[in-house]
Amino acid sequence: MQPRVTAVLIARRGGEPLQQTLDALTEQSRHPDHLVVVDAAGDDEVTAALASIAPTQFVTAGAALGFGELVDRAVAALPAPEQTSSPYGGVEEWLWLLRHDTTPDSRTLERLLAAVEIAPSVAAAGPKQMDADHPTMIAEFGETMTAYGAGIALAERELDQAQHDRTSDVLAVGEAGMLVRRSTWHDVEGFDPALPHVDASLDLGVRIRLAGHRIVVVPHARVFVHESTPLFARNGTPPSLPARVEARWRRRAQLHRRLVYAPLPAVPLHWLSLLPLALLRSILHLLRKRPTLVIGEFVAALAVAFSGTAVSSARSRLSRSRKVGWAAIEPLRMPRDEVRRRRAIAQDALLSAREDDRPPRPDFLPGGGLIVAVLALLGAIAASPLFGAPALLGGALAPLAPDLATLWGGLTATEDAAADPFAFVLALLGTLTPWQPSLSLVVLWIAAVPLAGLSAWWAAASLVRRAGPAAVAAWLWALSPTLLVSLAEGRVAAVVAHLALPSLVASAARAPRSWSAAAVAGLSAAIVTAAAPTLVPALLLAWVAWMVLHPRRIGRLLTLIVPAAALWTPLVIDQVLRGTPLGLLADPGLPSATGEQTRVGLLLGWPDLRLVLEPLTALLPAGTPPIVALLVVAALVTVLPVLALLGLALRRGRRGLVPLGLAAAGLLTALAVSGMALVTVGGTAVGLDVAPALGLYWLGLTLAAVVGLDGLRRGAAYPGLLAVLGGTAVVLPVLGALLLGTAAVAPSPDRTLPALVAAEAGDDPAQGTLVLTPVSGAGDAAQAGLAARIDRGAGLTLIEQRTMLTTRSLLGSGLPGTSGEGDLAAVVGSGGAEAATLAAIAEREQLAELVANLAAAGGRDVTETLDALGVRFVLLAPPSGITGDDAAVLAASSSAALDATAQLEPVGDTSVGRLWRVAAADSAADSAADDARAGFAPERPGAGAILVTQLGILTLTLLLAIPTSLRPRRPRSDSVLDEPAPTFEADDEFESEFGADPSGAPTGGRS
Amino acid sequence: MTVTQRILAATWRAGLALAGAAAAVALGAVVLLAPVPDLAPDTAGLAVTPDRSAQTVVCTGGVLGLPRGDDPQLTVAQQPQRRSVGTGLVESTVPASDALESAPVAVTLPVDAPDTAVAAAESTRVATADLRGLAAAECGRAERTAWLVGGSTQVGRTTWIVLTNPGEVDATVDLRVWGERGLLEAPGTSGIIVAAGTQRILPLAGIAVDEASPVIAVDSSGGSIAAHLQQSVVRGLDPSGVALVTPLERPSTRHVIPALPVVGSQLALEQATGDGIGDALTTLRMLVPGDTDSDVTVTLRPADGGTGQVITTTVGAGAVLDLPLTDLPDGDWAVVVDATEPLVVAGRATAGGASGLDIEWWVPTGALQEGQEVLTSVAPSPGGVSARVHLYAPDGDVTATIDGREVLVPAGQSVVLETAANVGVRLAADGVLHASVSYRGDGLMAGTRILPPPLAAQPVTVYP
Repeated sequence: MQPRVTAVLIARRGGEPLQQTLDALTEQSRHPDHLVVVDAAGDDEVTAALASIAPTQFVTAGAALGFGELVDRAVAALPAPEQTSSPYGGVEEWLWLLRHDTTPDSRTLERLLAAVEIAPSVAAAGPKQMDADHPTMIAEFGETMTAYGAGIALAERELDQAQHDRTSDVLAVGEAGMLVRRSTWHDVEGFDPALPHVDASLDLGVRIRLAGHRIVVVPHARVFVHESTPLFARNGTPPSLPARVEARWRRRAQLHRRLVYAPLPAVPLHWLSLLPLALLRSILHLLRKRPTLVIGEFVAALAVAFSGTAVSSARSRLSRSRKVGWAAIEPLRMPRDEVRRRRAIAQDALLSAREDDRPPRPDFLPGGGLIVAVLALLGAIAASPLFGAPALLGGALAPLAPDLATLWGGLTATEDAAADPFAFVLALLGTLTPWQPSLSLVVLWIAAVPLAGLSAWWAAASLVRRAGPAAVAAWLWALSPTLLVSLAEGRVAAVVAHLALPSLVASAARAPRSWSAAAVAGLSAAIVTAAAPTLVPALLLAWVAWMVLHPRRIGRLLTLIVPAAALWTPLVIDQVLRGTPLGLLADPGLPSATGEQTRVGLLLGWPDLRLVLEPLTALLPAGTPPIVALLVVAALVTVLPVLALLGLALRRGRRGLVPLGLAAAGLLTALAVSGMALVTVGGTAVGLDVAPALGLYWLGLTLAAVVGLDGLRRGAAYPGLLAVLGGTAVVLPVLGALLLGTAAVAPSPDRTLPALVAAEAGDDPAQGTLVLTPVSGAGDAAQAGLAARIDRGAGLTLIEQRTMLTTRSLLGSGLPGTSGEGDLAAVVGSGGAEAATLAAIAEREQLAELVANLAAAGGRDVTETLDALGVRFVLLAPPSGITGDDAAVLAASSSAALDATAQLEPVGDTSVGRLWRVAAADSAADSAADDARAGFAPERPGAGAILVTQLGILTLTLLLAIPTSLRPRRPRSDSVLDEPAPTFEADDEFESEFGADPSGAPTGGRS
Repeated sequence: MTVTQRILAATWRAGLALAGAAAAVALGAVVLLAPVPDLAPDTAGLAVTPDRSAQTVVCTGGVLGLPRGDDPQLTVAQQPQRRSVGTGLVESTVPASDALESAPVAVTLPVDAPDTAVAAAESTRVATADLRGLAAAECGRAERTAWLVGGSTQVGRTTWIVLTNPGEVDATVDLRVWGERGLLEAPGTSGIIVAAGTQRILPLAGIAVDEASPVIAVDSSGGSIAAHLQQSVVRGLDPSGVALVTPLERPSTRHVIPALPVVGSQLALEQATGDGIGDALTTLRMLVPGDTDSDVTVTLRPADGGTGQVITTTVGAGAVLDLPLTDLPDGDWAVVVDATEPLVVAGRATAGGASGLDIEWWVPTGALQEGQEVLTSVAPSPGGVSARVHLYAPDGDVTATIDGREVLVPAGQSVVLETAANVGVRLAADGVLHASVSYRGDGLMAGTRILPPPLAAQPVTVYP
């Protein structure tokens, strides 16, 4: 039989590859008998170039068509195959499929033909595809499927050492340079139009095999390919193919083929499994740090699930041409072991690539481990008075929650208030000790110092190259004034922010290079902003700046805000709708008055300078002017800013710029919030906590200082020691206060109300206790009064605190950023704000009237109000804090009036004040219990769905953040051998300082 | 890298550090000096005035006595006559009492009554083998503290402590009793439960034995208590007077007794010499309950505008002093006691008459302030007993209005007006005025006070 070859050349674009291909066609040792060109470029130059080789047929087609359809156009343009009755056999027609980018070797066609002529059972043959850019590399050589039907190349991106030259029979060959018998092509009805991008040739190969033919690869026939099969399917010059698009195409093709190849009864099952599989694979993608592939996974599944008749027509096409069973395919599939082996090799390659990419870091062990261990010991000693306590009280602390269900129940939005973002942090924290959530706060207090050290080590290690400076950073941060003052004064949110800040800085620095780091940074940012809303403006600014510095990674950096946004959105909506957006800055947790901030204190990094000045003044001889104590404190920490600024003048000192910028942002934030108060407690305005902002200031200063230490190299020992000793000496008074138990934070039982109330709360968790605290009042018109609030259950818990409720004092307060202008008239007509203001005022007035009539002999019968509010107990707490005589007088008169109230039965004095029980009217007992239950704010409709969405986003981010790949091995950076030669380093430095390094990342990161 | 490049790099770094230092200094200056906005929400609490409550005054009941017999039970020897005034008032009997037939009455003006004031007073004329005399008392509000200045437990003197709880909450009462030698320690003085709606009557003799000058402080927790003392005197075998002692609310550095009538004092002294106890002298009883001795100035003013007497003395802290007012001629005296330390005081007068003796304790009254109008009740008086209103203006001229009739009360003088008994009287003043009512007959003497109206309910500041 005489073979007759029709070359089909599909051109999508012109340029050098096309020219090479055209030249190669004319130089073939065996010229094709016909040449059909398909012009899908729509470009005159390309048309001219194609026309120049005088094709037999010239077909013009639209650029939107897939390869298979273009080939179909070409074949349709051919004359019908000749029917011959020659006794010597007819003419055997072959199609040789070429793309504009596939340049055949001059003997390719000859060798392909030679291979098919000797074996009549062979219906298709493929050349060895070589990489045009690296002519010794195999681009692809034969295709097959895994056990699950995913297409895979037999050989791909390998150096051609003739290792595959003995391969012959394959399941399929790539479309580039494929030689296929025209009759078989017609029998199997060509490419599947539902596979326009990838896997078309694999599908064709499967059908040819099932039609009873063989497919071979011809090692000596070579085609140089410039573009890959999926790249060819793209338009544009030059085409670009994001990894996510290719992955989507491949998945879609695989799913389509799965439905086509499956036995008919299994098709519905496969169809039903499409979306669940997509979900599972999405989670896998997240775990493997490939979040960009997630959307494609679902798009592919949906596209296949609702592809119309594509599957059915493909199935009928397959069944029409099938002659042998699927067993014919099995031996040609790739065995599982082989698939696994290949995956391991790919992983290794990735790992070694990452090793090369990694900046040098100091080892954590042994130096860092030792520091953290010492810090753990120190922290445990300082917190020893808290050992064994079930909960903590003092400052912003309270028991966390009575049980796990309440803890997580605190995350749902109630009718009048969305949950604080910080509630999520607390819920997570409390889950660590599920049998008694409040205990986790005790654990946090004991472990805070070493955890802060660990966190700071991680942040510093990405900046410095030696262990010494990183250890200094860990030590200074763990014993920073802000952390210890926060621990001593029970500022729980500030402590959490303190632990999360360094990990935010460290992971944000790595975020442009790693999805995992971006996810960690996102979660850290969520924790930091939840715990310290005052840091949000500074962090937003830093975020925008970071995106400007890394414009190419803007997509990844944009995702940093997602977890924080998920936590914040409900609260932001609530506050804005209520007209008090300023309330978003309010500190979470129990509002607790903090000491007055001084400007000098801010500059020295102390949220409450009294804690150090008072013991210090006591030590100094009497009569010393107070400025001396201040100077001592300043002198002990001066070495930090000096080192930080000195670092700028040293080599690689530019790394210190970002920490210094953060420090400045922190200090300015602290300055701005030092004058702000958003919450009132008992007639006293509670200022915003400056501790988190000062923490950012101190962190930046510490990191910049250790960059300076790192730059000093061998000379760093003494300044480092000085910094450590000074930083330790200055916080000794606070450590002492913690150890001696004179700090505000103190062990407490797991309730804030008397045991009797807590016991009754076991039956009715919604029971209310009216807690009255005589206070002196503050401000010019100080008026002794009663601070009143209603606690539910066993008392205050942290999880039930909501800034929406604590910032109700902003309503109609006339502060900028709130809709009221001092009176109610301003909010009338402003929708949600008006309703909220009116409701808040009505509620306040109701409570105030109740309290006034209870605390002074009045004629009102308060039974009804008590019932409506679900109040079962009344507690008169001792006058709080520093209060005057009038508060004591008020306490006495209130106590007398409460005694004289017929509806109250005195219970007696307890550790937290004098307690009365509301006498339940017999008939009203049942209804009172019902009303009490109504005392809890009801859940908002749809709150569950919102919570699930929030938790879902957090979980997905967490999946993305979990490190799943092996940690790359790292060269020891502090060894002398690894130090780069000085000459090269100087060059490197010169380049980086004058902007040759496009990333500009002072962390030494190369994006 | 050439030398030039090295120098360039070094200069660049040095410049960077200098710029950093300059920025740091600027930042420090900003932090120390820049003004920052002071934002704080309104911290004012809500000042809420409690609802006006129903006003209740408690009338202690009749004169108590032990009937003769084998098993004497404390019994009311004579029921009182009561006059309650105020539109819409409701009288109710306190249901339980330690004394037989005792019917203390709570006079209540409900919140929704048309009137805003209520007053009541009662008087008892008793003449039995053991008891003789006239006792009268205004009905007062139940309070948490009461100071009872009066009584005696010497031979022939019987003093009952009467504690009435008209409210709905049980009261726990602690008594402290002072005598001439200071605070007396006695069992059973603390934790006395006075259940809601009951009257407890305790013999003072059980606490203070043979005490000539007791002063009793009553502190209640829980419910409030209306506390009274009832003293009766038997000289030899002759019953020689009964008196009801009404409470003072608290110690003070100034007390004013607008009426201390001295009637038939010579007669009384003569008749009283028999039993050897010199308590027929007009006397001021004073106690400084604090820890510091007090200098006391007692100013006595006669009703007719004549010159009075001024006595200065020192009252030791914690011991009761009976200051005899010798040489005090008959007449209606007003007494002002000024002290350097808070004290309690009351005056005792014995009235002599042809038919016998009677005693009365005159307790200071609170001041009626400018513009205030008070409703008072003049108790019914038995035959032969006349009632007089005593007005005293310690500080300046005051025009008093009694039932529309204007009376000028010159500064430092007392004015005595005859009045009908068993009436309600509305009294208003345009200055500081003290007032009381005296009832006198032959050998009969009693008094009721005109108390200032209760303070309007004070607003309570609440920080919800």
